[in-house]
Amino acid sequence: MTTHPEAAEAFAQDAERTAWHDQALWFVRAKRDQVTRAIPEWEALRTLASGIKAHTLSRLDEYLEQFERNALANGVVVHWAADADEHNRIVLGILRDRGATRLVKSKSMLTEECHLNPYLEAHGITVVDSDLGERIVQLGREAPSHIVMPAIHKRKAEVGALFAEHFGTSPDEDDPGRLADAARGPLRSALFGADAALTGVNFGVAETGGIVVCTNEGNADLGVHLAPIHIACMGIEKLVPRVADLGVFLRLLARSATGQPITAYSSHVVTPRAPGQLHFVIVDNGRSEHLGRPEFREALACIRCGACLNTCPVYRRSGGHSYGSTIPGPIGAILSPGVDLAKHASLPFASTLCGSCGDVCPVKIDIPQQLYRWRQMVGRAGLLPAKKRLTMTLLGGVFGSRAWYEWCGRMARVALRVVPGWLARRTAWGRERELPVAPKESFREWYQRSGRG
Amino acid sequence: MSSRQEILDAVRRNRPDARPLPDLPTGAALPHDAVERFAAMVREVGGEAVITGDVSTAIHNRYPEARRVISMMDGAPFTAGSLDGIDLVIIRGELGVVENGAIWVAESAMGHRALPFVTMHLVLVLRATDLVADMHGAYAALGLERRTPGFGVFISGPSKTADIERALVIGAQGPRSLMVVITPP
Repeated sequence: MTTHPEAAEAFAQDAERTAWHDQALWFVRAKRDQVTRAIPEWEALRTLASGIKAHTLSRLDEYLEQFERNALANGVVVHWAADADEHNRIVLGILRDRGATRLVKSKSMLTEECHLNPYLEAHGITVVDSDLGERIVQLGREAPSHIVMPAIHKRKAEVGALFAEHFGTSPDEDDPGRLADAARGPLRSALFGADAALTGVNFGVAETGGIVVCTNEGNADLGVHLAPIHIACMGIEKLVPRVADLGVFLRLLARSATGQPITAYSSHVVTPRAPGQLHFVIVDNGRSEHLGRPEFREALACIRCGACLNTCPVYRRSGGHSYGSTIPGPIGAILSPGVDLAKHASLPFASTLCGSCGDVCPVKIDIPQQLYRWRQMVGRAGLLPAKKRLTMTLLGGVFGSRAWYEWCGRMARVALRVVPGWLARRTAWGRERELPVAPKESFREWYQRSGRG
Repeated sequence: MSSRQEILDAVRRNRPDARPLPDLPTGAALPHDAVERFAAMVREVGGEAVITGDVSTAIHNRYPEARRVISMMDGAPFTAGSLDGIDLVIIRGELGVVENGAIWVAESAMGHRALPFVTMHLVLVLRATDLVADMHGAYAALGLERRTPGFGVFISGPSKTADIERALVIGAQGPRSLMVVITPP
């Protein structure tokens, strides 16, 4: 298993790309700041959203039952999947029952988490991701590197090369407008020719049994209103109690995600389209277990806006793929360890704990606090790399004894003056850092000398 | 035991102590210049907005080339053949939201759920009196908990993508343009 630092180092080899990636995401973060400042009650909205989610999670079983009851009354077929395997089997079963072989999908991080595409393809289903960014990573045989902008790690020339191969555009075409236009035809053909359409779910409404799907391209709607079967896959944590709660979340979601006041389309699907079928697949896949972790459960409030990715200095310079998990960035770094602590032991450390992710989170998840707590868990589980374990033990001793701390401080001030920089740069800590200039004395020495003690 | 029961049992076992459900805001008051602000927001999200009582002239002036035009303004169901190759669809919007330029369109006004999405260009006709300030006001006015349409959508601007190097491209898979015609009272 590649750790985050190893994978990040590989990404950062391309300095020009790293700088571009950093800037592109920061630009989105800046747009987010601009549109949130236009709403005087922004902070009150965040508090409200956080409260609604906390309440929903505290009554989640009841809301799931209410959601199911109403959905059934609306003529929806409701399925329950305990894990990814069951989810994939259910989706395949629905398709097989109707002899459907051509599936179009709009964006769904849940199906990424379940690795649905390879499973369906292995069983003879043709799957076309209809979101342009998703289609780009699908053609490139990659995973999305961002939850809202799946292909943000790709430069336009790379997209051009991919489209030349698949859509017959000129190999040196790299204009985003013309490239998007070249994909429009094939994507629309796939949408018009599909036997079934699958979408994710942004919000499930317990009160009505309906779902809400938000897109900018309109691809989710094109899929589901043209195909005879609509399959919507939803994690159990996506519920809100009342339809009016959407007013809060739709004001927060797109502003936090892209800096838009709202997505181009916020589609409310309640009943099947006559003469079609509507299926909801409600998925647990570890979520109920996570609900049982008091220190970490609030991460289930996440509405997948990606704001914490856009603001994160580590994510911006290391790319989504370096996280080795479906959900990258700060939110991924606190969700993934709950799924597999050993595999994702390096993720809680992929952070400076600067706190920016917590500041921008529209549902006020205390991501920095959780990152810190997961670090404790990693340590307790004995999963720290040997070097880090040794360093932490030594530092623990230093900070645990005043005399020892003062002596080490003195030694360090000497060492800074005599040890050459190249030696420091051979350590993991010093590799990317300039050594500070050694002060003449410690703060304590200065304090006492200047007669303030 | 079924997965359904397993999931519900695990959730019940693991759920936190009860937390109160917060009350929702009722929505801000409509600003005095609501129509102008709404039109400006429609333009900001990539749409076009005209304020006129002469709807058909406005549409003809903007889309003189449109050959296959489908108007749903009289509320009849869509029976006019293929959903592909439509140049222009005209639909009545039920409600406009000043804060984000979004317009609520319910299934009954569409004729077919796919129509607002398959068309090359979309025109939404909205009465100036059908505006609310924000999304709280929109849900309060729509009352979807009482009369839920089988399908409904907030449309804010034309179809768009920024998936290639964050460059905004209008007209991804859906409509390449959206014109909103606001009819004064």
